[in-house]
Amino acid sequence: MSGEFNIFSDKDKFMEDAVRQFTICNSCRYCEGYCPVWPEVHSGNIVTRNDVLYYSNLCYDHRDCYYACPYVPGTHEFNINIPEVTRKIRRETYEELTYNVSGSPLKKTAISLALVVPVILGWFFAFNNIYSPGPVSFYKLVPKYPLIAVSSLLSVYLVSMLAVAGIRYRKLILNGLDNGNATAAVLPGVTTLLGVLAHKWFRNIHYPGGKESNIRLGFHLMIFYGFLMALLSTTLGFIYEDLLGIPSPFPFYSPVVIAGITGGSMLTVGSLLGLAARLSSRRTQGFMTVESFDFLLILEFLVVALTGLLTLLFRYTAGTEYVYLALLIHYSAIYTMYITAPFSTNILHVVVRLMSLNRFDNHNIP
Amino acid sequence: METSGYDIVVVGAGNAALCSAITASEMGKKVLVLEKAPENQRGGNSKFTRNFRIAHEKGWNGFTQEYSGDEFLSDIRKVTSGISSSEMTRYVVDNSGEAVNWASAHGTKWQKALRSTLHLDRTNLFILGGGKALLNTYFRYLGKFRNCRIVYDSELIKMNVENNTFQSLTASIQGHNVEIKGDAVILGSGGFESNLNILREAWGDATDNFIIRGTSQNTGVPLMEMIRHGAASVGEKNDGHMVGVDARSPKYEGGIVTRVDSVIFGIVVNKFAKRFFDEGYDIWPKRYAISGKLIARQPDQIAFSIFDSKSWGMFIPPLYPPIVENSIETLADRIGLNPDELRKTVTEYNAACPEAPGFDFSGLDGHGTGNIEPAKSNWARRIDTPPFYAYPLRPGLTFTYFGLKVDSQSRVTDVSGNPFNNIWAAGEIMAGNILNNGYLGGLGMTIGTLFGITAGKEASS
Ligand SMILES: Cc1cc2nc3c(=O)[nH]c(=O)nc-3n(C[C@H](O)[C@H](O)[C@H](O)COP(=O)(O)OP(=O)(O)OC[C@H]3O[C@@H](n4cnc5c(N)ncnc54)[C@H](O)[C@@H]3O)c2cc1C
Repeated sequence: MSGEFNIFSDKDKFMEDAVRQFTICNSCRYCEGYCPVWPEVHSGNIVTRNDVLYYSNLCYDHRDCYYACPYVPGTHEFNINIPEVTRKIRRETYEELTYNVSGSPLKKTAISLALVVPVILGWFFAFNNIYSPGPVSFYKLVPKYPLIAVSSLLSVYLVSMLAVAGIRYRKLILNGLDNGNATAAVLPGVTTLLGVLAHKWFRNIHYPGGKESNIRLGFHLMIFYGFLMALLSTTLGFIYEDLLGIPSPFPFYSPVVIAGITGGSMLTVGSLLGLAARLSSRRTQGFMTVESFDFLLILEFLVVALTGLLTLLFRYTAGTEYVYLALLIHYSAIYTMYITAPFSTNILHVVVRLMSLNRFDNHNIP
Repeated sequence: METSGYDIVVVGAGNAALCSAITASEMGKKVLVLEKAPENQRGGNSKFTRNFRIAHEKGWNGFTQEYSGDEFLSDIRKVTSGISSSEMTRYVVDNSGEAVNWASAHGTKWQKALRSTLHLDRTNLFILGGGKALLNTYFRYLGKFRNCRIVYDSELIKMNVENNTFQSLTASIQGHNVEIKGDAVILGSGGFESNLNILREAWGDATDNFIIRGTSQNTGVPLMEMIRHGAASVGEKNDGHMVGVDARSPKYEGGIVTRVDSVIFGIVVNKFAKRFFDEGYDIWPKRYAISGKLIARQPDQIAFSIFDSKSWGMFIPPLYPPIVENSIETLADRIGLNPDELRKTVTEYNAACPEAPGFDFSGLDGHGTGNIEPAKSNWARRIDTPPFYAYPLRPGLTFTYFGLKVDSQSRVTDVSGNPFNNIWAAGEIMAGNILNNGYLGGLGMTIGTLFGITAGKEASS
């Protein structure tokens, strides 16, 4: 069933070795209580390539298994380094799910800037009425309906790209597992969702250094909930204005602004922490490279969050030009983010991780 | 580094040694730990372990059933033919829970019994991540003490003892011989399982075919040095814990993954395709601990576990793939046995299997063979459903029993029964005082922890 997934077909040796490593793990089992990967590995008798792809996408990179293992490279001929294996496979999985379109971050940036900047500039000149009388209004920069139209289009694009990735992941990997029916539901179950919201598997990760810490939990929470807050702010704004008829701009005590400021701040701090952690992990853990991390997307987050905050700030402090300038960059960054998101490991992992966890939860009903 | 002025020198950095070093450091002593292995290979046999055996009540640390001290004691008696020192054995049983409490208090975490280790889930508590994770925690904790220093690549090569008193020791530290003085010494340096020369004295050429399951570091030098200085010994040099492991395993340090759990599901034959022991004999831990010794006594120390497709998937698969063929004859060919002989052995065995086997792996099922030599007293089920499977087996030496005689304070004693004044031993090096000719899974860690703490305390006071 799974046959067509040709990830690593030209890297047979690597996959063969990954299977070998997990086979050794399956006959050891000491790591069983660490994370969802191990009960899954130990539930089977032989390890297949397809299994390895799934395990890798279930892996949170806690690295507990690496530190507990008596067979790690440099100390033992078995050369076991599971975090290294799974990290490489995750990377390849994302490439495969997006038909290898993603390419290099540079290419992505170039493409998206090329797409976005002219559009924004076009609007800016076409609808340049920011100096017209009346209060500051975002719609003076870009009128409402074009804005809604483009946003909707981009949202549809993003959601369908992610849906395609999800469907491919299901078809190419999950369906090929033994006990395929555990894959069952397309939509994640309540247990899985609650676990994700609570960041159930984020405690005590050996990151960014060799010691256990909750730094990743911290910045992931901030980015995760910061993103949701920002989304909430946008949605509230839409509800206020279009359903309740309260015109923007909203006063600073309005829930729209409060959610916006909170979300923006959380995203900013979270992204900065995340960036710093990655850079320091590169120094402290030589065997882990940074390739699985999408710097571009985090930078985009950062620009979006900062310009969002600045837009609000300037409204109360600076001249109108500054508000519109910040807003313009804000819009551009959001669109760039939209366009690049489906190719970003950071966004793809949301889909793939959620589906893997869902399969795990269905397979391990207590 | 300073070569004198230590209150206590601890030799080794496995579980027992670290328990001593931590205890002494907590008591404010100036401690030096000498570890023979380089830092990234530290931790001896302890880094390969997975659980502690402890007596406990229902509900303690998540156990769903009780394991009483009396049952624990009787299990020890079963495997040691009753000659173990009863005072020390009782001490281990009664305080086994304390070993776990101490480990927890020093950061060790636990997990539910691993999948397919059901026979141990009532008696043993599993370490989250296994022994190396436990040791990492101890090393990290010890790192906080400024009065404790650990040096790696440091092998004790000579003990200087006068009038039953430790004077100094010579260690080879990164290749340089250094004389180190201390007020007391604790030997936590394990057995001599990695010393092929001593093993050869006891086992002859068979040693060439042994696989050493654990560390390559435990050559028993501190142990033999003490014997040279007149210490009394326990156990026999040719006695050790040996299990059947995959013949394709590395010579050293294969650890847990090389063990082959398929033995009870079929038959085991030697190089002449003949069965040579009761594969369904007695309780799990006991049989487990003898299968290796039986193989060690077979020609060329080779054996093959043979079973059929009915049993595949019923045990934890070993790290190497099984040899699989559709007929007994081709299987024999593949593993270098005489096909007619193997066919004959399987046919005889099948004929002796009960009609309705009612195979039940969860306990002794009493379904033994009829008239056949040797009998298989449980789990006798025909080998008749292709494909047929084989795993090649070698004797896998876990550790040796021969060790130093100690008193109840874990102090080493001499041949006339007097204790050495300032020399203690803990762990495998003295486990023979409790288990002189048998073993129960999980006792090594319990013993090492308890006597490691005792030695640390006694040497500090
Ligand atoms: C594969 C395997 C699995 C096992 N599983 C379990 C289990 O689940 N539960 C259990 O209770 N037991 C288990 N055992 C047994 C257990 O490993 C031992 O009983 C226990 O680890 C002994 O601890 P120790 O501290 O005495 O010795 P070790 O842990 O072997 O430590 C000895 C230390 O001394 C050092 N050393 C040796 N010679 C010198 C020298 N000359 N100078 C300086 N340092 C020296 C070594 O490098 C090492 O650091 C297992 C053993 C093996 C091999």
